[in-house]
Amino acid sequence: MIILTRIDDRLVHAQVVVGWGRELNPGRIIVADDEVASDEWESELYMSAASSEIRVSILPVRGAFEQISAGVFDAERAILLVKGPAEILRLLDMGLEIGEVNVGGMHFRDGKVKVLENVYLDDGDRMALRELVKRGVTLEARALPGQEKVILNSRVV
Amino acid sequence: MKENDAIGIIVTHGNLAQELLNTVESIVGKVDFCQAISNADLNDEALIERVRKIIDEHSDAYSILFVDYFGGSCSMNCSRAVKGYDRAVVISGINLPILLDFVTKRGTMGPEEIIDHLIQRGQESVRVIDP
Repeated sequence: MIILTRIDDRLVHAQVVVGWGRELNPGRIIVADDEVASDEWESELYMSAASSEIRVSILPVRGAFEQISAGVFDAERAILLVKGPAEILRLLDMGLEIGEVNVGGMHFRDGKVKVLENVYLDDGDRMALRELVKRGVTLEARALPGQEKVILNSRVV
Repeated sequence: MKENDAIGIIVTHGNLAQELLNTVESIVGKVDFCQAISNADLNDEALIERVRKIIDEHSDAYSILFVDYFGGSCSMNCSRAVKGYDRAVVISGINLPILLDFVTKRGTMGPEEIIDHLIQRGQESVRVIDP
């Protein structure tokens, strides 16, 4: 069971493991990212970043979709992490149902404009987020569960 | 610089790195071989680049990176930053005793030896005080 779907370009880090972990008590974190999944060193780094109570699966986007839809994680409380909106779009295209996405961390890079403290967007991000909105996804932005949800939907159209 | 010399790069969340360095300096005086970096204003790539630049500028010395939290983004990005460097290492879970010993004992022992010493010092200083 996916209890949180989150966009965070830092993937597994303290905010997720400690900040969300203590609120949601996840048994697993699923990272859906082609680049990380094909890099053994990076995969091990992310796996080492979780606490001992949380198992970590690092999968390419297609593999994540297949395992989630096959019910591999149905018995667990799982957090699904992706680096950006493009991965969410691919998961939707494959047929995964996603109603709400937590926009947790899209950090500053050249060419990106600040929207919120934890959200910087360029045109490509806006386009991808807009597409998510079109498909009925609610975009709630906040870094941590104790913060107020900011609904981004009207800000990206 | 002498062969045994090491520089310190403190990398943390928020203002912790700068405040740790300020506190060290309030105890031992000005320290010119340590730098403090916060992850607050830097994205991952920029942080890695900043750290590597410091390591490269001090290629005659050993670089010890001090990070606050194992598994946090600072420790992740510092791990990436030292990948491929023979004379750079990351120590996570830092505390004031570790930094004070680094600053005061640096140069009295070789890099490998001081790293072992700092880890031991840090661990020994975490204890229950129950008078």
